[in-house]
Amino acid sequence: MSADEGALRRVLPPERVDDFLGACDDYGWLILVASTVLAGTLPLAGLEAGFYMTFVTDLFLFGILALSWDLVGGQTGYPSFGNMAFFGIGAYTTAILVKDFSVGFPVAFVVAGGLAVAFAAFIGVIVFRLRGHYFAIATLGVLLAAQQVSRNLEITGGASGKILLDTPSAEAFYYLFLGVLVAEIALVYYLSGTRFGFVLNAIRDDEQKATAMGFNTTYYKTAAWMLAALFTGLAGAAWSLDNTFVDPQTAYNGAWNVELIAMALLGGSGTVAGPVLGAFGLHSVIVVVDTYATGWQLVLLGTAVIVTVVAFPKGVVGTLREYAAEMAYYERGGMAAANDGGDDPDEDSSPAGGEAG
Amino acid sequence: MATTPEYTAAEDPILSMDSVVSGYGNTTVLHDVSIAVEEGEIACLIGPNGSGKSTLMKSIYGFADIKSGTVTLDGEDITGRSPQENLKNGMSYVLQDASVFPNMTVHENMLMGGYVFKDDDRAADRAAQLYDEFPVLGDIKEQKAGTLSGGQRRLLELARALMVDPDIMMLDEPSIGLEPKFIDDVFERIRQLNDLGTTMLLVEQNAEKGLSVADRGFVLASGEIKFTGTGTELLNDEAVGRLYLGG
Repeated sequence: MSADEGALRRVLPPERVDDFLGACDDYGWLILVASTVLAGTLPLAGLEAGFYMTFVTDLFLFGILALSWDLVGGQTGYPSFGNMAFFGIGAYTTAILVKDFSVGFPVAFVVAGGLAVAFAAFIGVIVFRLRGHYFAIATLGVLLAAQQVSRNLEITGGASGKILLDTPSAEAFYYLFLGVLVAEIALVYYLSGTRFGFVLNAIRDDEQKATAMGFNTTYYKTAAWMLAALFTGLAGAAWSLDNTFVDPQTAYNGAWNVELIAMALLGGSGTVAGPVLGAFGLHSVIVVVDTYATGWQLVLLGTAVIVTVVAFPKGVVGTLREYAAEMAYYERGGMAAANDGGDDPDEDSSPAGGEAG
Repeated sequence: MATTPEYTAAEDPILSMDSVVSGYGNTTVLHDVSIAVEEGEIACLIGPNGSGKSTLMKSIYGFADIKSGTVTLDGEDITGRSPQENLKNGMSYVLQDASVFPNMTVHENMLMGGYVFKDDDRAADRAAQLYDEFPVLGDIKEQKAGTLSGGQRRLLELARALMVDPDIMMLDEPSIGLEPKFIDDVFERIRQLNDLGTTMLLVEQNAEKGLSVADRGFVLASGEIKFTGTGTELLNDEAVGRLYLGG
């Protein structure tokens, strides 16, 4: 153990982190409700439409997108480069319905989510025959194809896109994005403790074994993908009107798709809080760099991804968990206990001493 | 087939294969294999590499293609039945390779073993029951399965196979890849489970160890049953010893 690690252990002992994570698990719902109330009161407490409100709204937006990506990419182990296709479909659906067909925004919003889900079901049948890199490339193809279609259709306004006027207020979108994010966190958090969540994780660990244990993995994968499409599509649906402008380049933004992946990985892929915290953190950094070092954001993004993958392959939440678990591991006697564990069925599990620690 | 006089074939078998020819696609691995196991027994299948031991289990369980012959469970013809159906009907199968989900906790792995039934509570109750039986597992239930030692992992595999409360368990090479002290431990567990009434069919590379716990043994070579007898008989049989036990 190096001196640095020793210092870290004194300042932030693993058992403290363990207690903290344990509390987060125990009070998960309470934390979610409290955060929602806090975020909900910000506009009442003086957060006005403008730069800061846009910033916080974007945090919610990216939180939705990163968590949706992680549902399939992190929980199920299918890294998609095409999630932004659902976003674009949602964005164009509301833009067209509201502008060209004078449909009310709430109705257009629901239709947009439905269309994204339907598209996901259709595409899922095709792309889920593939795994790993092939899946990633195929989904990227879906995104580029969707972008190309929007660029060439008349109804979507071609390459110049659509300008949207008479849109709801910034406050309305603030609450809408907050609501969608909270609903998604609650749903993913609930699912992570159910059969559905376990099967997704089993597919990520070893899909063949999951099949051998009697699970129809295609059904579970497609369901997760449709759920991701629903939230991504809703986010897109709200975004186009909030942005007052939609065009193929921004609605099907490949760079954003990479950002989502970076956010999920940075925060902690395969966890509920990780992708959301990663989105909050990375987007904040991007905005700061955008403001004070314009033009460097992509360099920064690349660096962040490299550092994360090399130093914290499990992301912030994953690394914290591992650090916290270290303590419990040594309490059990480290390797010595791990080796003895299988010996005696009646063995008392009281700490075997710290001989390996 | 050489049978020693004291040995009696199973008369009322819980599990049997009758003249089974099976394999994968166009390849035939088993040629006319018949075995029968009585309820409550430990039966052990030994034989050299590539003799078809794993294929025999896969043929019973529905992972291989049966070309002719029948497989019977408790008097019912189950030839070609799917693994899911077999699992629901009280037969579980522990695969040869480490089959735990490494990034899931011990508890989540256990629940996965019971989810073949639609009832989630049933799985949770059964897991709690098994933690009482195997306190070691209860202590580590929140640990990721990938961090377990080889012995713990094997115990988890056994316990997970018990989630469906099987009448019959098939174990493919339970001792493979384990240190000697864990091998004894695993066989002790097998005997323990058998005492509780579970019929066991094992495939074992460690033939001496496998036969020493077995009520009934089968020697498989080139896809055919060459010898059959009680475990002790086969252990003491000169021909079996010379050919398969390295002595």
